[in-house]
Amino acid sequence: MAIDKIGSILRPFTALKHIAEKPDTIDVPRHYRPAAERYRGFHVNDMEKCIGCGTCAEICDNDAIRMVPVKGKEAGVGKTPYRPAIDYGRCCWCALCVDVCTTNSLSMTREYTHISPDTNTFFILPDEKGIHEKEFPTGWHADDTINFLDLKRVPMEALSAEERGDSFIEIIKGFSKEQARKEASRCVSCGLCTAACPAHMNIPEYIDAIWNDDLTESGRQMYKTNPLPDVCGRICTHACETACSIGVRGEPISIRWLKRYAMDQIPASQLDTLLTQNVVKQGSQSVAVVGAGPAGLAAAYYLVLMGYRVTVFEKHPKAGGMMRYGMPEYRLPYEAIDKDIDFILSLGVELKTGITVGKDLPLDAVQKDFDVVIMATGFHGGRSTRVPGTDHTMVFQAVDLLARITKGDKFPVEKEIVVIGGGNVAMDIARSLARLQKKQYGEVRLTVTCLETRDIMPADDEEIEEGTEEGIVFKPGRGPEEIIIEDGVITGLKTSRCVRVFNDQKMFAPEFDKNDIEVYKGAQIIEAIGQGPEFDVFAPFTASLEMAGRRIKVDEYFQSSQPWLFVVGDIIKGPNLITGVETGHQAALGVDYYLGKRARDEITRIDEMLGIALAFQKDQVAQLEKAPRLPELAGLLAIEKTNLGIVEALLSGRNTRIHLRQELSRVMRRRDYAYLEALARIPAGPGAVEAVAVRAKAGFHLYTDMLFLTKSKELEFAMDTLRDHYRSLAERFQTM
Amino acid sequence: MSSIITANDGRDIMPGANAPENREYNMFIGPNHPGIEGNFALKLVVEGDTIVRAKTEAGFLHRGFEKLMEERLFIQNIAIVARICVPDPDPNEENYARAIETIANIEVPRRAQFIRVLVLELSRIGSHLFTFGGHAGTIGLYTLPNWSISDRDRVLELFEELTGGRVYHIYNMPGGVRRDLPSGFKQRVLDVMSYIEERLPEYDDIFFNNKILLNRAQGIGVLPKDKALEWGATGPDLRGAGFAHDVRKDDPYEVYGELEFEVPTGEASDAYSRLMVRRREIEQSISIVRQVLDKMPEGPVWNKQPNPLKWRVPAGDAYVRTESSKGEYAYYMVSDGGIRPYRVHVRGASVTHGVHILEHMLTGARIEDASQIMFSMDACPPEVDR
Repeated sequence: MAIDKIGSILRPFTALKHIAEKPDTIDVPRHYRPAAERYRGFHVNDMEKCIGCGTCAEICDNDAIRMVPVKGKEAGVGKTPYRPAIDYGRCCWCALCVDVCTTNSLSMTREYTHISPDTNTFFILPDEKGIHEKEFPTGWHADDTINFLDLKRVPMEALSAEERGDSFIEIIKGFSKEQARKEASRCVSCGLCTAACPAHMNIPEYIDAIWNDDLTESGRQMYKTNPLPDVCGRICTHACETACSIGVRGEPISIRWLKRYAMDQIPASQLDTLLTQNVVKQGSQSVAVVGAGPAGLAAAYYLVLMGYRVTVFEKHPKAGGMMRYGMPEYRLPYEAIDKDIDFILSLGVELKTGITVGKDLPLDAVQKDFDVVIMATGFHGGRSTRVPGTDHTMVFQAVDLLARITKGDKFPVEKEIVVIGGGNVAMDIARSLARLQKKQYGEVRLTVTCLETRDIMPADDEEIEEGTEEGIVFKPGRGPEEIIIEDGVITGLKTSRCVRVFNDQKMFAPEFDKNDIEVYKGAQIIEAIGQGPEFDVFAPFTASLEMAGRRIKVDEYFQSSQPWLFVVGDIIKGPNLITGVETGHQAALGVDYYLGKRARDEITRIDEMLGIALAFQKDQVAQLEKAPRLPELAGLLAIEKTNLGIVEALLSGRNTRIHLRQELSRVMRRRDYAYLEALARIPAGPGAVEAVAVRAKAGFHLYTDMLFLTKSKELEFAMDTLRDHYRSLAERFQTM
Repeated sequence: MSSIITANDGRDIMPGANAPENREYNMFIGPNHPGIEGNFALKLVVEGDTIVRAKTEAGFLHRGFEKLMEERLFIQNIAIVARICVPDPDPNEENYARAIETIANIEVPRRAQFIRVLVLELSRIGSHLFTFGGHAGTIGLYTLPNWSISDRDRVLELFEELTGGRVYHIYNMPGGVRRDLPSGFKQRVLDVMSYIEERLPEYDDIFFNNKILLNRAQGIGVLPKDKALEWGATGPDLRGAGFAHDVRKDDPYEVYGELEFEVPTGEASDAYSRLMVRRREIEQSISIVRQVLDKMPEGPVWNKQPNPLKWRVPAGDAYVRTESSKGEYAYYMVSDGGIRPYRVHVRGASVTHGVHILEHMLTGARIEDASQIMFSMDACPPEVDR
């Protein structure tokens, strides 16, 4: 280093040698240089790829991202009509939103600057073109090697094909605590699952509770919309997992297995203390539920919570319906069903088994004894292919056989069996029979054939894969021609190749190639091509019920044209367990409206309710501003202004996921809001304190009612806070 | 006692002006451009041209980072911490990440450790260049600021290419770094290093060997050696007093233990000696950068952490320190096992240097040296205020 201690006055002049050099600086804007390839410029969003899950808004440091509805974007399974809008007054260009994006639709451009005197231009809804509406080269973008999200599932352990081949022991082993928490940690709480779930279960909430190892809370969240979580945790069709935003790039969260894990950890004896704080005292009005399946039990659960006397009629010896009599034990063990049902019955639901309504007890007799009847009779009639030979005694209906397996009835199991059908019921009966064959003969010789080719078979992929492992032979894409009978004994099933199942209008219209014939050997044929309702139970009202196509006409609360008759479950919507639960839940609300003689148009949505709260808070602030400055009221105005801020924040969706609140059709009955309309003006003199007390009471009722609507924890917290404030206020003036 | 205000004939023309209590007056320097990298103020009590007492005034850049961090998810804070010190942001990112890694026992891939050292040293070079410019500005040498700020820009350009940001890099993440090196990046770093190395002799010519600097900076702002230890000076300010204390050597983090470099020290403990320590540190940093690029292994750059929205750091606490260009920089973090830090305390060198020591050093100095003394301590107001 050339440092001399004396220093020179002349050496600085050596800098003059640079005088003729070309400067490094760029002549902007005449010359433009794009930023580096990784530059974190302005946001661009692939509008088609984006599903509007809102995870970007969730991770944003500065609340710079808000989800706004976009015209032309529809809500659907796994997507919302909302897209992220960026406020560059708040953004800090950290690009965490890009790295966390579930679909990789977000990225940033290589632009350095945005200059405008118009502040509105700093608030943009980024599309593929970005802030300046010209295509800039992409800067910071998702990198597959650096993944914020966990895209891989925690694998679920199951019994091997050898272990399970001849037993009805449950195949799925379930998560351990570590596995469950790891799986739960993958969730980004976007809520697309809740929107897709027919019962709108609080999925992010219960997954979060699992992650926090608070299984009590997890169970409580489940029971808010589904009283059969043990069963659903095993056999639900999990529409939630199809919608899961993590599933766009990776494997969706194992929501169903997580539910099963949480419920398995809560012993039946604890359910009572965890969940029944809110049971209303029983009143005099009574409801009959016909059919103790998922829909009927769900209706019974929510009705008994609301204080109705509920009696459930069931034709089988035990409650459970298709859950018990249509599901093989290896998928749904009876303990799980019993746990759910016993809890519902323990709340005071009366169960009368062995009574077939319509046969043992006519429907009009039931109608006389009860205020309302809910029909939840389900799909217990198996459909037949009606090919020649189906009237043979060795031709069975899958649903009948499954019920007989549950009951322990003896029936013949032949060495070679053919099952017709490609849905989950066909899988259930085939795999059950395979187990019986293995037990009886030591080997499985069972053929499953269906019209659909393998790629469009309606059964779950895992069912088909596991069935194959267990020795079942699949012959998809074949239509039954006739059952071959020699000397009164079935020897096989003759099939032809199915060219296509659906016509151009997507209607069921199978076409066959009659030259392509195959015969599958079997001495026993099982038909599993679908089930249908049996309408005999509705006698003597069958003729007077309005129909919509093949189904009974009902409104959104499943009330039929006979006001006292509600129809729920598979016969209305389905067949599907979770849909059944939802119909039962909604019908329970509908019964409550009907018996409470409440008008339907009073039912409001969350945002409308928040609108009422906003009006109330605004009026409250306005009144207090005009009110006299009494020492008793000191400090109240400031609190009310804060409360107004809370409601405004909730309405603007700054702190809650606005898209969820708007999307979900979670409704409640609106009670008597006359107390809000008759609010007292605060007089400028004596009586001011009394008027404030009246308003406090009204506020307390308003927020108590709104607590019914809560979806998210934040909303719940806000409503709780507001309610507590008004309670303490009203108590201060002693008017509660 | 000589009078301050007298007529030519020695008459006292302002009776009372010469009373001891009236000879002092207040002078305000700052809060804009006071000779420091940000908003900061000095209240000087001056007698004639001599500073009798000095009071530092901080708080103009207070943004409540420590409190903000308690309200944000662990991952969100990586975007905040860089803003605590603008000229040298990376020690913040380094400390924040390392504190979490210490509490949660997270292993950082070796390649990421090398990249972190690379980033830290580039940041040190950039910060020192910035300081040279500022220091030169305070004594009216305006060529050097133009040079050093423009040369610092080449470092910023490297940062832009590596991290996506020029000033706020938001690049260190608990568990590693956010992206691997871009292709061809190593060569471009080496090019810039060679360029800066070639420039240093020119800096010497116009600045470090400049008679004006020597006359202005030598013997000015002396930090007594015993006081340097007593008052808790660190970094170049302590090394300028002759103590070879450097966290990189004394308590090596990342891969500093495997690298060869010297700890330059000064003797006089004055403004010039501190400046020269920084000047020589740039050479050491260039050498470290070359070693890092040479030894850097292949491999992953990030040890995957759980979903950031649900990520919980186990309960515990950690005190981690980093040698920043300003001195010893430390974070004390407490986690209660939640999704947000329970408490993060930032220990910046600038509070010691820029607030407490500066008050002592200004006492007895002349007004025209005040700014220079401030810059020679190289304090960073946003870091003081946090």
